[in-house]
Amino acid sequence: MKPFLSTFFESRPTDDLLAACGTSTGTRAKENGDADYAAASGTQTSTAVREEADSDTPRSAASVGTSTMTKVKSESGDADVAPGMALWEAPVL
Amino acid sequence: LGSAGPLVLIISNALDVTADFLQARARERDVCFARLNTECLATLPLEMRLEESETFRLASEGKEFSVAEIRSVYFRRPVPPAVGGDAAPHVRAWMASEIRSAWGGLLNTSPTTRWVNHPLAVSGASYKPEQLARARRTALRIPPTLLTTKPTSALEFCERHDWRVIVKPVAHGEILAESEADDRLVYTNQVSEDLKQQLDRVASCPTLFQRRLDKATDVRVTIAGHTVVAVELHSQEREFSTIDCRRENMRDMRYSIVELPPEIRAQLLALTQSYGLVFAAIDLVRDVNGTWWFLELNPAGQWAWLDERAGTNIADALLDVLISE
Repeated sequence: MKPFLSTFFESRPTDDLLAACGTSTGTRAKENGDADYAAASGTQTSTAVREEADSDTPRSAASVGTSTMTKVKSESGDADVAPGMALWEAPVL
Repeated sequence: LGSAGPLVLIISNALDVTADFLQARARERDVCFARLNTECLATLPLEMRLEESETFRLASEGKEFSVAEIRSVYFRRPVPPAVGGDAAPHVRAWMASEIRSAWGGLLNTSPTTRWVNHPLAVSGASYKPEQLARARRTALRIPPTLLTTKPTSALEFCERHDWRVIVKPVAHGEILAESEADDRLVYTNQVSEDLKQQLDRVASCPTLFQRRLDKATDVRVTIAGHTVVAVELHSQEREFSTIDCRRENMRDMRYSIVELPPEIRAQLLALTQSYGLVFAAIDLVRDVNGTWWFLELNPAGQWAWLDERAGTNIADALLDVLISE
């Protein structure tokens, strides 16, 4: 039996911004939502993110005192972050 | 690393623009920070020695620093580490688990590091039903709520509230599919009487119902340490955002900074601190009678958009917490 909430399922809008209000959890949504939010906000940071999102070239893995916006192609990168007690696995509401 | 003082470590993922936003402000304020994108952990050296003495060292871009140099950690939106190579998928999954355990163990070795927020506190604060129960014990008002798998209970609840009832996910509203085109979202929705026959479906999955509030505004409260920033979202000015203010990307939303009643402010601080959280993004409703209602607490909620669109300064409040003694 389908869940009751499936009555209300909707397709993701191309300019989804769920992430902007803190209820988004999926990496996919963060990529789309935050990047679009960033583009809409018109800040220097946002522009940088949009540029990085369009690039497949990894940069440094981490950095000190500088922004690291690396586009990572990973096998696990799209995995949702499930609730749990382990470090790195904290849920994002 | 530089000599600008104790380090603020920002742990997130590479696509987190809110972390970028904070970094930009940290740079302006000359705060020494490092950004750690957890998908990249597999490529970073670390070392922990417990011999005659104890050393815990991380490396970044050829520079090493001790865990003891980390004053604070802004733990935002980490993702699992990506492990490449030619190992079998189950072996790579195990390697990712080892990497998480190694880094988590190492970063937790300094008792003086301030976490905003500590992962364990985030986990403890991440269950909406528990939040509602705790908020009520904190004397915050919550809408009449039913979480159930019983169709008869769902029907009774809806009828008792004259079908002025909303339904929302218990955790989050993203259903990720194999293909992005097949992804589904579910917002908060009104339950109308013509869905009566569908209520049997709650038997297949726990479903959260609440009495619909007569909203004047939605209110987003951001807490950073003892700083409390409240912003009203004038969601009732447009039909599409009356039930869920996030619809249509909050297009043309009007914002205004608002002062919370002292007792509400104190209750929200108490709720946040009860979880051991330093930061929280809390959703409230102010109804047409001026009553304040608690909806939920987001321990890693977004805030940068409020600095940009509502004129708040949450970035500085967060940095103040991260660099304070």
